[in-house]
Amino acid sequence: MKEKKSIGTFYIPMIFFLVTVLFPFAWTFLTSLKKKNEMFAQEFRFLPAAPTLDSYRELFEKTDFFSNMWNSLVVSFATVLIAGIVSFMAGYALSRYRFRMRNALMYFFLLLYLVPSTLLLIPLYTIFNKMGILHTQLCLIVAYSTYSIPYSVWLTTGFINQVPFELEEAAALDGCSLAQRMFRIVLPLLRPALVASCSFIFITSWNEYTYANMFTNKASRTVTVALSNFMSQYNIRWDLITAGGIVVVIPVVIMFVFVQKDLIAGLTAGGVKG
Amino acid sequence: MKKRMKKMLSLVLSACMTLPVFSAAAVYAEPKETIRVWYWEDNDGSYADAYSTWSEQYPDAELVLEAVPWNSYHDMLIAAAASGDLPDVYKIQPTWIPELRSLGAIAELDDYIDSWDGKDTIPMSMWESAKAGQEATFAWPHSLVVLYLYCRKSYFEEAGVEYPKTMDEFYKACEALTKDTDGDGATDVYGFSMRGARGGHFMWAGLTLNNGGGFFGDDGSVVLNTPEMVEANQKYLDIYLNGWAPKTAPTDGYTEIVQNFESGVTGMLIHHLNSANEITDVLGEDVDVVPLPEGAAGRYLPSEPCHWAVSANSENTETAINFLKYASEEETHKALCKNAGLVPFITPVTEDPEFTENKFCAASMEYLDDVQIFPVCNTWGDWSETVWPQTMQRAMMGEISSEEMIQILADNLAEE
Amino acid sequence: MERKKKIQWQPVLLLAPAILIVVLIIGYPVARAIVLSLYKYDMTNLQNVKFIGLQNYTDIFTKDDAFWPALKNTVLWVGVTVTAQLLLSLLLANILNKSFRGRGIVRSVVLIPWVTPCVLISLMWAWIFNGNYGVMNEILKSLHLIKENVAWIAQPNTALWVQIMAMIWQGIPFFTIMILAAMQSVPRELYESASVDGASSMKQYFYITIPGIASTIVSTVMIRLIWVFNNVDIVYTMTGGGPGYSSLTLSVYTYLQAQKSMKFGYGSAVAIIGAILMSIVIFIYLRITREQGGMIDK
Repeated sequence: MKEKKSIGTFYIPMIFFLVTVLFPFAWTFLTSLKKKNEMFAQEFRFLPAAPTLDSYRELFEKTDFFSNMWNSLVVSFATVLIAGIVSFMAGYALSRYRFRMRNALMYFFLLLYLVPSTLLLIPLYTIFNKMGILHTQLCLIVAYSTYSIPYSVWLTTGFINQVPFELEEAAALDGCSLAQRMFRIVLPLLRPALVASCSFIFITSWNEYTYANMFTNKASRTVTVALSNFMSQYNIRWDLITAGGIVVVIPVVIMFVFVQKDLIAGLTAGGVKG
Repeated sequence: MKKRMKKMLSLVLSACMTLPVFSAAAVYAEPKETIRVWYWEDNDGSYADAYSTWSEQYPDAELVLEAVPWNSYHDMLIAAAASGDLPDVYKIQPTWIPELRSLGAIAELDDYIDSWDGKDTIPMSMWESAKAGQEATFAWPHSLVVLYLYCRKSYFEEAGVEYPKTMDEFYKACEALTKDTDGDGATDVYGFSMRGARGGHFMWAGLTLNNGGGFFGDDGSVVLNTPEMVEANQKYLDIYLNGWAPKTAPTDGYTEIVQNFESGVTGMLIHHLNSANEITDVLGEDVDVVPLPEGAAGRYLPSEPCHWAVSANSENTETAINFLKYASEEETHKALCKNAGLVPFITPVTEDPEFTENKFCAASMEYLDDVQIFPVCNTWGDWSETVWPQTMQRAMMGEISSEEMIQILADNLAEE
Repeated sequence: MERKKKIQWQPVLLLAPAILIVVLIIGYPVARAIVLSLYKYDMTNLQNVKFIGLQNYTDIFTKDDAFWPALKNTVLWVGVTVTAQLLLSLLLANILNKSFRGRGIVRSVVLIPWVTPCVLISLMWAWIFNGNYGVMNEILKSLHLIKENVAWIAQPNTALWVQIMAMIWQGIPFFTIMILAAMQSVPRELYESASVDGASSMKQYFYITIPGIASTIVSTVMIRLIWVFNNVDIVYTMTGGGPGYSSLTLSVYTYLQAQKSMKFGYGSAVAIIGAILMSIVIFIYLRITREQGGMIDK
């Protein structure tokens, strides 16, 4: 695909986006290199006068940041597995079948989530406590799955709607079973879409704070909680927060460098009718 | 492609399986007693250090100290209380006692206190604070901080004013310290680090209630709404309206006011001992402390005491009480106050030169008898967390007058 | 979109896991919140819990100073944020769909705002817009757009907008990724034949791309509406809803009432009102878009 890229519609907006996206982060990074008294100095300076990596050293040597990141990774991956599969199945049903109560179900998935999580905290705490999984990673995985399933059901339904049904009809005539159609025909066509909705689930879990804050202890604490705990009652550790903020983003971005190709792999040219 | 996905899947699965991730709860095999303690820390590790001698004195009981971060402490405590999952001992603020009582989560301690021979080492005021106006005592004194006034030494010298002792002098100092240092027409240095966000009611009370006001009368009715209070409140609002406090003051919280003082944006700050180390790290010798200024009715020094509570469901109440006694011993109290930046209140630690000769600590202890404790009532949580900041900010923006502000504050304090 | 009649146990089996997980875990807490909204239920005063019918609701509408400003702010907060996110991401997705050197890196880099925890986002933006040493004031001063420092977060007319900016910034990557993924499923032949017919790229965009990804746009906007509506972290960390009520949203108000003031009955009532208003919006939205989205039936 050879396309002409003009300055006005390509390069200028592109640079605009890169600058807006990166500026807050670059600023955070510069701040993380500064010494405390320089951060609040009267005289304003963009670049740190004496850059120091002390905050990163302290982050890795004196805090549990790595194990917090590991917890977040485990929880997020497990959630992707559970919520991804479950919502692909549900999305397929909602897209391909018409039945009574379908609309009601679609609304049900959405409306449940209009009740803010603040109000769910205490009952959920009690439920998890009774189930005996409070303060473990499992309770976060359960909580995040319920939290992301409705959203990803909607996403996958939307995506499957865009895959022409005729393909499946042809396969059904050839004697393909439901499972075969789902996994042999729809799934490959949906690769980019599934990658997108799995990234959605992953990142939602990775970023979640309210539940993680309540349902974890020192051993199972996730990275968002660890980060906000650098703010204690009378002390905000700007150095650790900014350094941690940079570190937290790196693995996800690296992961995405590999995944993003699949977003584009897309449909093969043949066999798709317009 | 498929292979890669499979590989990734199996990798993730095996990672999940091989780690003991689903069984994070520790198993205590020994038959000996365990008491769990929840607290939030002011300085990392300060509690573990201070209570490290426990096992020497009580070898039969294991002490499990669990530091819960301040951000989630109250939420977790309430959730744990509501689901009957509380630790044996937990740190509280006295204003939480009514809600913990209504959840049936907190044990009465009167019998244990009366039979304790060390009772007199803790001053009466702390026991009263622990009693929090209830008909029985549910808490055991744990820690104390008292508000005082930080002054930037060089700014005062430059402006040629003394550290304020009365409210008039304080307002004069606010005005005198406010300056445009580079002549560009914009103020660069402000007199006072005013706090309009949550938590600002401490300094507000310290600078307005010394005019003779109070929250509740002896009969339990709200007496906040008086002409004197409206007048004192107007003067306080004027600090901002006259431009003696930074323009950011309405939404400034703890971090911002301390930053503003440390960076030299402001010349005065009201806080307590807990921030002393951080501030001297940045300002060195260029900072002094004095007690809060005196108003028409003397001093009003708000304090923030914290207490220990024992869970009503604890199976080891005796041991829990032993822990409270242990925490009130001279050595442990001294170690904790030193590590965590707290004001000592247990004799003879109060006479220890290590504290009396430290200027910050001395300023906290100077008027220990005048220390005021905020009322404990059902409406306090809502009043201090939501009503006060919203009303204060509206008054600072000129949406409501001082009179209306005091009216709203008084109305919301009254029990329904 | 006519579908052949199928045997109906298949969708039931496919849907069962999703429904079970959701209902088992979240059903009871949601039901409890609805019931609590009819009670006077203050955590600080559990001896005095009593059924008061709709009194919480009538109090909110008639006596509560904070409710109407919060409602107004919520409309702005959700409306402006989601619209801006959608428009900007359509633009960005279009750029990232072209092939150019370093595309993989750029695609990953634009993801950064989305993977940044909300706590950090609000600290970062509060830091940038800090009225005393924020970099934004310095930039604007050096461009001579402002003369003296502006207290962005402490002023009633700017506080909400700083938060809206932060939220737009946070949400663009999500939209972009979804749109980018959807664009891949638009059959390439359509573009090729359109090119042969001499349609401009602008025309191709509006007549082929947009209809092709409509279903995804509909569901993504939907999700985003709810997500932005529910977000508490950014506003609460930055201003706590202040100064006064000027950046208070319904979700933050619920949070303050329930979590900070411990008034669960009243807080639930605020939340339910918000949920009802939001579901009306969603209902209308899905009605209007059902042709394009195909998410609900007629």
